[in-house]
Amino acid sequence: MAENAIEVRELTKAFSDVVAVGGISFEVRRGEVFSLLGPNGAGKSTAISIISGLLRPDSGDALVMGHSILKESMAARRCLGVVPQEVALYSDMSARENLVFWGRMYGLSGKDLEARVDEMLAAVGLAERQKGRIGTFSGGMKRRVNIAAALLHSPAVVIMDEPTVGIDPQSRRHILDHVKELNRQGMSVLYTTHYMEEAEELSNRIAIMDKGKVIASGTRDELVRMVGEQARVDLAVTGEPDKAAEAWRKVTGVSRATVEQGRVAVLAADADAVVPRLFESAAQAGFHISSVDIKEPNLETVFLSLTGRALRD
Amino acid sequence: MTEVHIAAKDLRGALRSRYFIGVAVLIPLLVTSLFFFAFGGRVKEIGKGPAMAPIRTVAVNADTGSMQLGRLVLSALSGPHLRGVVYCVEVIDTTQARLALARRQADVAVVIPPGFSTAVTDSAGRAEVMLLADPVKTIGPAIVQAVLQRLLDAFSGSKMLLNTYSSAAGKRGLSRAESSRIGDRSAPSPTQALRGPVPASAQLSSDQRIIAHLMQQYQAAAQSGVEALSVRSPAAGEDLSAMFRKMMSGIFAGLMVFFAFYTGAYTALSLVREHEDGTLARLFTMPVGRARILGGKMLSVVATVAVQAALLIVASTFLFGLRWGQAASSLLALAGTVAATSGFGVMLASFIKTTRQGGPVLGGGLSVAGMLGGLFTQAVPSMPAAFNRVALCLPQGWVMRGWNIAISGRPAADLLVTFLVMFAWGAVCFAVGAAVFRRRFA
Repeated sequence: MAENAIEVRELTKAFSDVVAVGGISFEVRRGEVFSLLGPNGAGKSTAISIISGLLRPDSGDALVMGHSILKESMAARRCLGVVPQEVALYSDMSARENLVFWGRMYGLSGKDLEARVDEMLAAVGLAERQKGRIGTFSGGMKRRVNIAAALLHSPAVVIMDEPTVGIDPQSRRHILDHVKELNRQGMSVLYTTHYMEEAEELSNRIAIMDKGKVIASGTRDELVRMVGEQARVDLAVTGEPDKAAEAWRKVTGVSRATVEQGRVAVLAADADAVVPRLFESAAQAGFHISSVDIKEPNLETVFLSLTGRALRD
Repeated sequence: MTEVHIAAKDLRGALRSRYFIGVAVLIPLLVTSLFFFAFGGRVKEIGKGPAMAPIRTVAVNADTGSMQLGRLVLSALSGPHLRGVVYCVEVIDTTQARLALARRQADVAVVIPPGFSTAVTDSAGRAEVMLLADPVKTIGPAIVQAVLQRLLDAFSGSKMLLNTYSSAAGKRGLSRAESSRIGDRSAPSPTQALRGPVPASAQLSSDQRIIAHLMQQYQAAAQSGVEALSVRSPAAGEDLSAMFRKMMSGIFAGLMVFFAFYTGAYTALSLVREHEDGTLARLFTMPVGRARILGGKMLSVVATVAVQAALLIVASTFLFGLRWGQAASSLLALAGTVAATSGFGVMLASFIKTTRQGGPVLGGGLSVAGMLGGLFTQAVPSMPAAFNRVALCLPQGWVMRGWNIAISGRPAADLLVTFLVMFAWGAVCFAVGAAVFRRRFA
């Protein structure tokens, strides 16, 4: 029996001259939630598409429950449940009809199929709306059916590609709780997101991706320790934030200062000691600080530290 | 079974779609309904002709002569051979006749003038029958006029015959009275027409007796005059409803074939639609080979076109009483239609990158192909040979040819070659389309 649920080995994929995935490797252990965290365009979805059999890699391979996606693609797919980023359902069919159809595609039939459909509808809280057409559902309800469709055949591994994008907080909460529940039941989950909070809340381990590469991976604490437990200080200034950032880079104790959405983000090992110096520097440079927000070290800080950019960029 | 599940899902979607039901089923039936009613009403029972309303005719007979030739004219209009075609009622005078026309109670008025018989039988006489018609009506008055014309021509012909014969007899020294008795002997032609009984009235002159006799002969043969107008009673001669049905079947087949091609392409376009919606990508993550998924999509095209064509054939049979020829021929034509339309649809849809392109490409491409394929000119009896040759360069032309053979009542054996060509068209187009789709998605 394979030790890892998913094992990715030197995967590469380029579209014309653009390298979407440049030789990434990671593994998802059995029974864990593993998150791929990175901004849009980092290569997460391409990696997911290769693992789920949608795209053929230029080089490298991936094993799903020990089955190569290249040599044993059907066996690999049977172990996988894929929740696509966009809702991929038939809007002219009811929730139940959709699940029955997708269940059949997974090879289920008869009473087993009906029972699994009932279970999944109950699990995503849509048993009472099962006859409603998908086209009439809210975004959150569609997302829930979208997830249910991937779990019908009780896969060993679930791949979820940014399942909470563009939905209301209530549905998002429901999905996150559902992922945790799946994990409690022993399912391995490969989860991609660009929301740091989701990765922190759900994941046993995290790989941070940027520009087609995995730039760091480990548990949340391991990643934070990688950047020396630096705090992040967000400052709003009167005047030009670029000039402020330039001035603060020279301040003692500041390891990095960048501008994000009109505010200046400063990384510092000792925030309490640095903040007074920032005020002093601002006064000397002729601008004022209108607000200060000190954040404890987190994945956002890690990404900022490693790339010089925020996850939202 | 995966292919069947995919096809069943698509077919169910099509049957639920108002767009599909509207475009693929209702529009052909509605267009045919318009043609049907425009050409004379519904035909529901075998042997019943098109329900043309009788021509309401009022007649004034002011002819008072002893020969009653005016009566003869009117009896021709109300005779059994025009039953159901002309409904003739006699009124007292011209005023009443005009009133009936003005009130739209009648379509035509026929006025026989006083002294009509005398004028007709007198070699120098002149008779003028007046025909009044509702200006809105065209066909009815034309029919009545043609019937009258035929009668009056017969009168004129009789007079000419008599004058010619009398002249010839005079040259041989026979008096007019003597010549009139020739009819009592078994004389050879040209006096053949003068044989037989003559009106009993002893007061009639010899000329009048001959003309009256000719009129009787004519009356007996009046049906032939009516036949010359191509107005036949439903039970007589070739069945008008059968001709009508055959024509309507041709028109409907053209529409059906056009919309079947549209349905084939529209259903095949669902691959592009699924690609855009993300469901195709999801299908590709299933433990099912891509070839089988594409096969299921192709099967759905075939199934949808087959259901559409079957629905249209059944509906047109029950709604309009259309006939599709022998069962085996119709089935062969249907099978060829499904093959050709599905294949062509898959090929056409494979060249379409996005569903937004779909509307113009399908609408424009299929309309042009339909026109060139002769789908819209079924009611045109004599298309140029070159046009027919162009039609056979397209699958539309062959499919239409197949239906024409079936509708004409010919056996399936006559359709075999056409079916094979239809099938070959479908297979080739299908192969091209499937190859393009596979290159794109597989």
